[in-house]
Amino acid sequence: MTFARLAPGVAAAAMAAGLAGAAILAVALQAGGFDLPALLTDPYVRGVTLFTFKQAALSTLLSALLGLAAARAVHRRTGPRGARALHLLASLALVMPTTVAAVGIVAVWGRAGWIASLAAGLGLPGPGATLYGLPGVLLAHVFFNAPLMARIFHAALLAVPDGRWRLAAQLGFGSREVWRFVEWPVIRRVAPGASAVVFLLCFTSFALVLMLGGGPQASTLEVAIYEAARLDFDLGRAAALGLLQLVLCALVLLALARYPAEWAMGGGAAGLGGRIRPDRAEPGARLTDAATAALALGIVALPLTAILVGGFRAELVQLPADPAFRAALVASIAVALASAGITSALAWAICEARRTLVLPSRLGGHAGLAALLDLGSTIYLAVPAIVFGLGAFLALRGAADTFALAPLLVLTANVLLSLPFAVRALQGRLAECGARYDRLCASLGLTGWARFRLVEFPVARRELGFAAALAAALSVGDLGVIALFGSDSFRTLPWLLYQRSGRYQSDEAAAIALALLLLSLAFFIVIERIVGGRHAGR
Amino acid sequence: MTLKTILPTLAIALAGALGRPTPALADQPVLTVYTYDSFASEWGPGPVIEKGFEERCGCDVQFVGLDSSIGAFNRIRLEGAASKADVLLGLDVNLAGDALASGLFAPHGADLSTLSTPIPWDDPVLAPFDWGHFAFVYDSRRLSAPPTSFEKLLAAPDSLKIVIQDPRSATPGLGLLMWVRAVYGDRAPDVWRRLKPKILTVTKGWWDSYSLFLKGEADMALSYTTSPAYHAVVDGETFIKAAPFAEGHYLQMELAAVTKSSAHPELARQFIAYLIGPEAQSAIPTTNWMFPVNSEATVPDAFRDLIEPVKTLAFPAAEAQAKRKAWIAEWLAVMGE
Repeated sequence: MTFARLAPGVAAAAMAAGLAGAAILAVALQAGGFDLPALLTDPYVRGVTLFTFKQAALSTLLSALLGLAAARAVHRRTGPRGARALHLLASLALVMPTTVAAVGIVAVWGRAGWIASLAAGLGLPGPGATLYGLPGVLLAHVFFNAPLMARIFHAALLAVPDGRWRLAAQLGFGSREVWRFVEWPVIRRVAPGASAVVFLLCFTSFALVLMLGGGPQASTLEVAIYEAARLDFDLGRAAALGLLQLVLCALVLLALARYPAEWAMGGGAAGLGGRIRPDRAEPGARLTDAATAALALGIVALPLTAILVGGFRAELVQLPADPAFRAALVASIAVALASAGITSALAWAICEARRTLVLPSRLGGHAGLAALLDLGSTIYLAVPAIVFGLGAFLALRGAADTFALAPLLVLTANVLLSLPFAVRALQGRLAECGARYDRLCASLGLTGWARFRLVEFPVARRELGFAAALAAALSVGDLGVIALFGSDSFRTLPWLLYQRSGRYQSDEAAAIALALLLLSLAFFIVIERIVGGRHAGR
Repeated sequence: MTLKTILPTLAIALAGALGRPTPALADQPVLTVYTYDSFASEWGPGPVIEKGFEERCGCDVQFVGLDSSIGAFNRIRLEGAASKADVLLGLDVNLAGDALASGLFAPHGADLSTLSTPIPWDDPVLAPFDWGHFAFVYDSRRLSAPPTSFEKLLAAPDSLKIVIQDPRSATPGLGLLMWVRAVYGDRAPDVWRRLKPKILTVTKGWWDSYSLFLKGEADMALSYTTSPAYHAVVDGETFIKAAPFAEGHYLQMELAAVTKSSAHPELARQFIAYLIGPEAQSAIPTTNWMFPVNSEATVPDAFRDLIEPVKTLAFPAAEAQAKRKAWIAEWLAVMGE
């Protein structure tokens, strides 16, 4: 019984971790081995690693702060509608191709951007070239990750039972006491896990860091890997650098795993929540919320608007007539649907194994093993796409036609990429469901499919819908492995976007970018509604 | 719709995407050409050349567009003797040394003596099929007096901002590195130190830079002397111009090669001959936005209006290969200061 609950999840996490390790090993074997000592004493590698850590840590911190402020503001000021908007924003930011986002950010904050022309109109000094450097990198990373953080924190706040807010009101809590006794206890449970994933996303960011960072003084390990694998074809160095990145990320993950990491990205309980918060009318809270709204507008909403404006101005209407676009659309939809299905199933299995290890009603207390499950499901975020692609190619080249396998490789990469998010979306609700119903189910003899159908699915379908929708949307936007395996017989939309922008095709690229975003969004809404049921996303 | 109806739909959709067969006529030999994506794409030269060659060869030409020319070359290196590729298109002169050293390519057998290339080229293995010069482009509506030499660019106020590409990830970026070296020799690090305050940012790829420039973020972008021709032919706009530099311009010449492992070496050699012939070469200017190597090729008027470099700069392939790593390290050291 216990074995049946553990095995699929452990196998899924082991497979994810194994694929990551195998890819690096395959590259290293081809090269004839690693030279790690030489790498660790290389001053260039050390400099790049330090900067990578610095920008990732700062990005995570700022994203968490803005995310927290935004989550509190949304919780205090809005009902389900605000939650829904936050929800969409978070998923949109997750799926946006980096080049597209960079263009939006530059359109707002650049030398010739909206802020600069506004400043010029008012006779004030504009931002000039200050965007390019650490500020640009941080701005872009906050653009991507603050909505995600806000979404997670908001879900945590929603999960606070109404009774606790009523009690806080009776005790006459002000904003500070509310934070200390009501909000902080739930935030601290989700913050480490959320920070870990955001840290990984920033740690491995590459094109964005180079473009907005002003140059090689601000580049990440990924660019060193890229150079080794591409320009120098030095596979040993590429593999060693990949391993270094993997180890550093694993250390960060394990360090954070000491703290309970139960963040849920799914919807919280639909209680009264914010409407009965005692600190709603406080002037200080009003002020912070207004400031947060202004900040969020500048950092997230304006660049998004710039992207939409740019896309609509281009030739969006002509796209459906383009056979290449139609083919890429079909391929993207097929991969996204498959990715959604497989990711949800694997995530479910991992969560099942995780709660079996942790819940007192089951084995209980195996937090260390649970942390390994988390590591396995998250580690792919630390593997550079180019190393994964090279490794997969080397492993498969004898066995099959690698071009024919391209769709399968892209699908695998997309599943692995979505897995950390899907697992975190499901895990809180499934654990809660186990804690509440394990004894009841045992006494009724409900197991397997019957238990899934009658207990788990109704309780966790919203979260399952969110996980599936996110996986679909993520794989619609992903340009990782496809960049290595795409060819004219298999193209996805991000690949087409990349191709079109390669040689002057800027209008079409802008239109495809917008189509990509709209498709991700459509996927997100539709899948979440279908799987998650009527109350999805609330 | 429930899960029960979603799963079969999903399976059908996936099967449709995976099971698309590649069209190949069984009785015809297939000539596989690896190249970079935009060459093979439907608006690139690929389809025209494919059609033209198929009409005379009785074969099926299949272009495989990979993420870049280096990507295509690396793919052949990884595949080794098992590679399906018969021809590789698009290698830059700066990487020619690596290609020759790999020993993966065989003589092309074509007569290069009739070609008009900006530098003499008679390599028996690597055949040139188009060329262009790197240049800084500017928008004449925004910049009325662009620098006319590297010296003037270095002397310009730091408020003049340029965007360039990283030599580790983009061939134009590598080209600029060579350009500065060709003009200044060992003084290159000092030149980069003076250039650095004018560099708005360094991007991973050419397009990231170029779109920043088009959006008005930078005054000049590292691109090609042929970039203005694109805007003239496609958009009918003439305000995007390339700045002629008195010291000369560095050359980008794209090369083609026949693989040693080719199953149809004779066909592959015929393909190279066709590629550098007048018919295929006439398709190059308005599809790849580069100059043809064959003087009999037709070239649109917009190409005649382009700037003509006073001097073509280029390192021999062997030297570029030998020095590349050291020069990149040197550049990184200055840029990281």
